Amino acid sequence: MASNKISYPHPVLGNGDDISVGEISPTVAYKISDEAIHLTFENLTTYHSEIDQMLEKGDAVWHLRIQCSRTYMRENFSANNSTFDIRLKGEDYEGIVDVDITVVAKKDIPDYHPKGLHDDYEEENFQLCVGEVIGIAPTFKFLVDKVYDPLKAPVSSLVRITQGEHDCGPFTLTLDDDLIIVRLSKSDWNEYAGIRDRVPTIIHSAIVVPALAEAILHINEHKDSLWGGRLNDLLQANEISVDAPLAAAQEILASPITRTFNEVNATLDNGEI
Amino acid sequence: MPIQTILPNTQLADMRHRVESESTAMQIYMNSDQYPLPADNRMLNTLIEIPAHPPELLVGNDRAVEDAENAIKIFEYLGPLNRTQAADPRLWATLSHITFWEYCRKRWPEANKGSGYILEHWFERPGGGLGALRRNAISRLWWAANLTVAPWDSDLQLSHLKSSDRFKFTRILLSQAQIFQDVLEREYGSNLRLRTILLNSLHAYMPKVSNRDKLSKVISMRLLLLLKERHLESLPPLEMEKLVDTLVARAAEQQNTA
Repeated sequence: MASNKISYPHPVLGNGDDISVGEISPTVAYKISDEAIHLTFENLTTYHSEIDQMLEKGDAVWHLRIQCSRTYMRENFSANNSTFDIRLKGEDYEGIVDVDITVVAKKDIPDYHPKGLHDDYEEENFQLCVGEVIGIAPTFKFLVDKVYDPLKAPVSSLVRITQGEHDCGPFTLTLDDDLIIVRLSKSDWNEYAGIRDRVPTIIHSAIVVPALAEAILHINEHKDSLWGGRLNDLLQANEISVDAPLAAAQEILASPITRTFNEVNATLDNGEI
Repeated sequence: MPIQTILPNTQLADMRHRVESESTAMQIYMNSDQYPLPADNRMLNTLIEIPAHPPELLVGNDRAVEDAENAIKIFEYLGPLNRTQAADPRLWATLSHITFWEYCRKRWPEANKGSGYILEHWFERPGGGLGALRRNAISRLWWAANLTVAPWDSDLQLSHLKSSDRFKFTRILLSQAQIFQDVLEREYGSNLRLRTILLNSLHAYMPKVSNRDKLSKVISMRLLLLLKERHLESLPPLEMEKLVDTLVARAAEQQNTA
């Protein structure tokens, strides 16, 4: 959290000692997954009776600005209540994200003279235009550090493929864990280890598609798990229905079967098989 | 369709280290027909599907026009990546060193200026931030198009600015290097509505002044100052537009009467 002190042409609550009455100190809670960012703002109040009254009457509004330099993203939201929730798309943010919270005039105010003004202002009235800053909160920052590789499907944030205890036979699935755990037999694991980086789309089609479809089928029982929350965010963000789990899994993985055919064809064309 | 492959981080780190530590590295960027990747280099797959053949990028005497055309070509070649994908330096370093190696060498021919020049245009400026993606020879083109293509599709409040040319604002953004810098290296340039409205006003007043770079610089400075005390993004769209237009008009008038 960083404090503010810049020179405004009018007194601003939260800017040094411009106004001695009141305080803006909201709390911002973050819930960050690869798919979505949930921000919850609480205690959006100024503890300055006149400014709070302006907010209640709609003469002023909370202006919440979310900025990410890394992805050229800057979104703005308006809030009137003391709590406010924002849901951002995870793919739009990466790296450091700045959150600026201010109170701005919602209409022109010809005779602004809030109580608690610093003596230097004496009896002067100020003329505020719509959009001008009335109060500022300390700036918040948070870091978005993607778990998954952004140039690939978000598989690693949902599914982990490991070696099972069984020597051979079909893979097993565990959903009662942070991630969806696929356990390959020991013999399959040895084969998998040799090709996983070389033919990732084939792995998606053969292992991840059915595992994800099965997980989607049971998602309601696992909504509180890490994978359940992430998968749910991903489904919602992309407006994917869970009624057809197999289709949903393919949509999340961005047409894995088509990509598999392309990958196999390219490999065959290159004479690598 | 083929998929875009990328160089792994380890390989890119080696290439970057070579630029930073070997004086002979700049000869590669000056003279080589292709970047000499090691024989055992293994590319990584991505989810990005690309056409079978990359576009021919233009390098001639009219950089403003060529940059805009190249931006459109790159955007159409790679498609609308999501922002996280497009912030990944591996993609841009790969395209600069492999697919568009020849273009990069011709467009940025002064590799003998030193490692900083090469790192900026073929890799990513150290430190990241707003300027980083603006400097890479290929990412600058894709981002320029992505941030300006048909803004009325994303923000209905900009529908009155709709044009039959979906890349109208890409062409404005790249019409002057100064505009490109002032918009993409300032925080306000990250807001779609403000960016579009500003470009529209600059486009209207640019023909009326003799020094276009100066107009862009002055507007950038005044807008930064104004935004400190007044959140234009909280204004109704028409009011924001009127204010930005007045700002640009006044600066243009002052330049002409000075």
